[in-house]
Amino acid sequence: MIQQNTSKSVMVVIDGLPVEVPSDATILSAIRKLNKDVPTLCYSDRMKPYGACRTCLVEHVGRRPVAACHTPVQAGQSYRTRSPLLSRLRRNITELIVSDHPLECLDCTANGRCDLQQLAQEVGLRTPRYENPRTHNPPRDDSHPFIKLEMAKCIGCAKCVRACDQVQGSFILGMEGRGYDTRVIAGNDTGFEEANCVSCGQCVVECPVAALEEPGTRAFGLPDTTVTTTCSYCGVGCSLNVNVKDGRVVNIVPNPQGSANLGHACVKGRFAHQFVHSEDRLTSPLIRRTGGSFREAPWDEALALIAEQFTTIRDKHGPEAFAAISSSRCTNEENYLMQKFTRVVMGTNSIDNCSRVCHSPSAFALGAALGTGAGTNSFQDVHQSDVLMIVGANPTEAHPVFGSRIKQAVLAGAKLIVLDPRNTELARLADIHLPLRPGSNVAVVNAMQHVLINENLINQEFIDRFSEGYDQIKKELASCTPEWASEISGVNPDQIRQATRLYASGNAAQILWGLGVTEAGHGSNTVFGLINMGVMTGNFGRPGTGTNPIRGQNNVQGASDVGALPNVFSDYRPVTDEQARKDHLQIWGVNPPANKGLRIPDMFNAIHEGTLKSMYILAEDVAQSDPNTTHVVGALEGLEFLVVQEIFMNPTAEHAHVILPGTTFLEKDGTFVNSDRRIQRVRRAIELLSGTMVDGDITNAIARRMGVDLHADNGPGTPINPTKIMDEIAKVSPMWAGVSYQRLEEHGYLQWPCTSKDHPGTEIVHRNGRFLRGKARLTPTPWQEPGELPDDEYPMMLTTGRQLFHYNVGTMTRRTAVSQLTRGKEETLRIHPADAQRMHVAHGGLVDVISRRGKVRVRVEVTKATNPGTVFMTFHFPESRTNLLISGAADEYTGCPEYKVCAVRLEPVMAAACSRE
Amino acid sequence: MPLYEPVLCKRIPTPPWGEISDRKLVTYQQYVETGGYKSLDKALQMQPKEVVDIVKAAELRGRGGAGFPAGVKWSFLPPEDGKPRYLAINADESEPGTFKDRMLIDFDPHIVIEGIAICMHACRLDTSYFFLRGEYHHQREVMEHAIREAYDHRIFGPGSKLGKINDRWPQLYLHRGAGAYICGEETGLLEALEGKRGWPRIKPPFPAVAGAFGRPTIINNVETLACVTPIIEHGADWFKSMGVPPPAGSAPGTPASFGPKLYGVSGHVNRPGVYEDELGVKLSDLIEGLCCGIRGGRKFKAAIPGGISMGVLSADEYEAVLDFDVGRKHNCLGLGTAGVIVMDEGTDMVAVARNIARFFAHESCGQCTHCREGTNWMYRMLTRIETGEGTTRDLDLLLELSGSMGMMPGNNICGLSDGANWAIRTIVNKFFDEFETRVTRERGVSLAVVS
Repeated sequence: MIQQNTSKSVMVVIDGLPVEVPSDATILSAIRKLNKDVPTLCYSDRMKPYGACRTCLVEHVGRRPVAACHTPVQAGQSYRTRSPLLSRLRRNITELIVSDHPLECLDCTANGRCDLQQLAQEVGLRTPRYENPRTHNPPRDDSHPFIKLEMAKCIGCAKCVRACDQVQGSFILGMEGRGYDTRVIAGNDTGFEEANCVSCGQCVVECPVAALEEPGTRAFGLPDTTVTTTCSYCGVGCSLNVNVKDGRVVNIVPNPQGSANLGHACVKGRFAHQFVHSEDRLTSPLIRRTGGSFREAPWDEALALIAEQFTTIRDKHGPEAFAAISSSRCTNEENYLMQKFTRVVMGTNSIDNCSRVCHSPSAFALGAALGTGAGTNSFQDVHQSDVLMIVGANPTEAHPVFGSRIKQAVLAGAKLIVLDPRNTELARLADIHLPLRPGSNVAVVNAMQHVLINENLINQEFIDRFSEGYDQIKKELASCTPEWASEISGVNPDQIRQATRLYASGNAAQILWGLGVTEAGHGSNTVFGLINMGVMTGNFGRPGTGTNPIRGQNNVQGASDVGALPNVFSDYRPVTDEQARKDHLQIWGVNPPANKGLRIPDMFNAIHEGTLKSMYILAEDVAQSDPNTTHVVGALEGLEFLVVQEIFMNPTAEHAHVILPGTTFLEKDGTFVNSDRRIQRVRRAIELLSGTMVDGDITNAIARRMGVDLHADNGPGTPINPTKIMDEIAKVSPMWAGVSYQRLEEHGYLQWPCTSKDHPGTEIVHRNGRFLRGKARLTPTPWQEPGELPDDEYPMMLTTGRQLFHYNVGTMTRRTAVSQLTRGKEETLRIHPADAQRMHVAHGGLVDVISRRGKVRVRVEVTKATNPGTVFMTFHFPESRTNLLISGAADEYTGCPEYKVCAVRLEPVMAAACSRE
Repeated sequence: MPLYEPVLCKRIPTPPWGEISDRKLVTYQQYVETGGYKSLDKALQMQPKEVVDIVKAAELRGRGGAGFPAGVKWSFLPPEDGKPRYLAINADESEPGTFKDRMLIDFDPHIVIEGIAICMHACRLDTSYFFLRGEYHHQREVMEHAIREAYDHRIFGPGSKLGKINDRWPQLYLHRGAGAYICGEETGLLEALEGKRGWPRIKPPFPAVAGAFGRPTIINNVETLACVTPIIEHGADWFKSMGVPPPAGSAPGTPASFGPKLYGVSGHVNRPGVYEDELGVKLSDLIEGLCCGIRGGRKFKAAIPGGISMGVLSADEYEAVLDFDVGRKHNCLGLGTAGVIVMDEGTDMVAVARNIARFFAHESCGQCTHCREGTNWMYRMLTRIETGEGTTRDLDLLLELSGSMGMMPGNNICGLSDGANWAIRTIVNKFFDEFETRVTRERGVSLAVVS
């Protein structure tokens, strides 16, 4: 689908106008290059030409008419887009389509934006002359909450089918029957849900009429404004068009120009937005009464109380008695303000964000080994890789839009290696799947490095010229044979060898990983190992190569980039670095603290130790999302003063002294940074919910009340000015120096590093072996056991993760119709049939999952998607309290917890107990 | 000038040289004893390019319907790159009135298999798929047996006398269709071969460049490949001694109609069946000679020259010469498969048209607008006319519709609706009176679309 055009160009003449196009261009692209057009019904930029509706006919002068959408240009030839013959043919086609289409435009949601209606207008068609009544009148299929199918309106263009195949890659839709009776079916004509539809809604986007529609428009009518913004779910950074009417979101559709998503979106970004208008949004500050209950309070009172308490605690106990958790769900500007507040107003570096509990090992290891704490290549590179290696990631569920692109790349011929304890969709598609035990990543990756060296699959020249440390790792890896790794991981040693050979065989091989690497124990070492593999085979600095983490949240990259971390300022400049401190002093006017601050897990420990007294938590539900829940909640209860800024009441906020109602991404301006370092605009689509404040404004207001001007607004009492904040970020962050709102508006996005105003941004870092660090560091990665291993008492390994239909602790998605989907209703424990039989648990029954920390009760789903010995749960459903089970073990470098490795045992709940539930 | 001795029917007793009742399956042994597989041995002595040149020189035109020169098609293949290249044999003989390939498969499968082997050698194709019409159950058994014989005698498989092609031992697989007319369209056939819906592909790319499984593929009809065998045996000049040369004075390269041809005659004749003659036999000679005249001594009314998509010849065209030029001379689509359907004076042409329209409406794949909707409307309007409920308006609309659909006006991916439109248009035009008397007059025909 995305191919670099290397062919030479030719001249053709369209309607008398000469135009130069690549020799393999279609006539349609030549026409469009002249800013002219011909009508199309079955053509879409995102898909291969189909050539069936035939409305795009043009006259090849001197020959017969041809379809412009798929016919390649012929050098020197002339084409006509308008002529009496073409008018007649187009009109005939339109008439034939309309002859079998209900003429009920007024009752149709596509009215006014229907391609068929527009075409009929264009060719001057009124009532068709074919005068039998329509014979196709099947009933509507309304079974799916988001995708409604009305076959009576179908015009047979198969765009939906092709979107499902070529964009989403789910192959759910198909055509059934022949000729006049051809119709679209889902699965084996079972309806969308049973056919395992992923509800991405791409079929609805592509439908030129309203045969496929979504519920929003039917309820509200046409929107009055459309705002382009960036999705606030995962780290793909889909650009979305938000359609708004009367201050409410009508629907959200993918932006066809979106650089990260190329006009695609997933069920969450597209349909899970009703939470914005949820009844239980917080709409007033809440102050805790002495008895523990909350009372509504005016903003003035709440802000005054916070300013007073923060000042008192800082002055009484010193700056280290305060810590803040910023939010990777919020904008860069808000995160920047938050860290500036912590450092300038409170005088401490104790600021962290949730990347601590997800990709901090990736950022750390990439920074330490290569010189930049982010992925090296861009999303579009997957189409240029001939080998893809995916480690501990399930992108088709957790990053569905990028997952689809990986699938398309694999379907187009790229080889795929998957390392995952679960039999994920990509694992099923893989050439080689290594089903390793949770926690054994380092062993397998070490064995792969061993094979690279042992079988001489390395690029010695690249190693010699561009890296350091090879001799040492060679020595340390000598004993890491595949047989050794097999003992630890349970993976067949020959498979490890084959996978390594396959990786090394690629001209452009790329490694992608997810939280299965970073949250699975010794995450930093696994990342170092993967980087070593890339360096040893010379897979850096070219399209389709590199080592890339797939980041979990919309702005977890950005929150870290702009300095919401305890050890670095924005742009990962260490707080101990003199130059960085000097620069900040110059801009901020204050000398920032020089000692490293507390990381999130340290914060809870510090509370238990009594040194940390007060916290300010921005949109982060630590009581649910952090591991070892009991420890975390105990800590929150021990705080003298806790401020929580949230959009909904949640278990963390329950322990707050003041709760402040923040806003959603649809109500604010700013920027997010996605997984591939792409800075994109977030724009306010709807007005602030009455009683709430933009999160950045709240932070700024607290600072103002504490007597500090953060230079974020246009004067006292005015809202923050994101443009101004971004300009400041650019000043203190060399790699963002060229970023400004003006450029973002012009380009749509910028990928950092972007070091000057005329720098175009960087798709691929470390080009030509010029690593930002200087030389790439090959880092020894000694094997250590994970923090927890199964034993006789806790014989199973629990690993946790996401599923497609929900997001994190479900705060947003569970307040939407996504919960109506069969697979979105409740938590399940996924277990292999063999284990289920052995443990006497049945599909659909309840089971107690018991770890060394606690016990939760959950329903059982027996599935081969999980390997024997391992069970899987998500953390989307707060009532099932998955994180209660998780240990406090953490990565030695970054403190990232081991969410993916937890020893448990299962106890089936007897039927009698079930009925008492 | 009738054929002096049978070529394709050499081993199949056919009037005037033999009795139909004497036909029986020619086994590998019998085939070889009567000179079979000599052509293959001869071809294997030649460079592949030489073989292609001979076929090109013979000006062998495809016998599947379109009449495209086979040698030219073979020369479209890109240079070899060591990866697989395919031959797809189109035995999806689904065109109504066509059953000539069936006879070859039924009685002399090895003449086809020999042609396949020669083609694979000449074009450097390593794998062949024999795409057999789904309804041909008996033919499947025959073909399976014959293919097994060919493997046993090292025509295909490891140790094949063809040697390795593209570093692979040549293979011939039998693939059965599932009963869709459209899978006889060459790219619909490829899709079906790949296990997909038989939807014709947009072109380019043409199959010779990217065909089955995205690789270069040659698609040839059964009879075309059967013709290759005698061409190699006797040479191009011998082949060109049969048939009709291009008209005197025509430009060089004008395609002619050389060689023998199987004519499958059905309908109202006394002795229907498959006959072999030179290309260019007269329709009247075919009916009155080989087919022993019209049934019951009735008068000739119409004939479809070659499968129903070709349109119709009327009594005025009884003397038409059945070569590849018949379409241009007599206002029909062409010779097609030479599956001649003869109709006598008692035939209701409205019913014929309605029946043909029904076939195309049923077999349209549903991709292109004109074909999907148009064939259905044709059928519905013709049904109205046949039952006496039609109006002049229906007739006008029918003619307009049939005149504007097909590959010729660029409306379709494949030729299916060309067939529909030529069949209906020529029947209505050539027998207009019959249609006109069946409809009631209705004024006020919309002029919204001026044709």
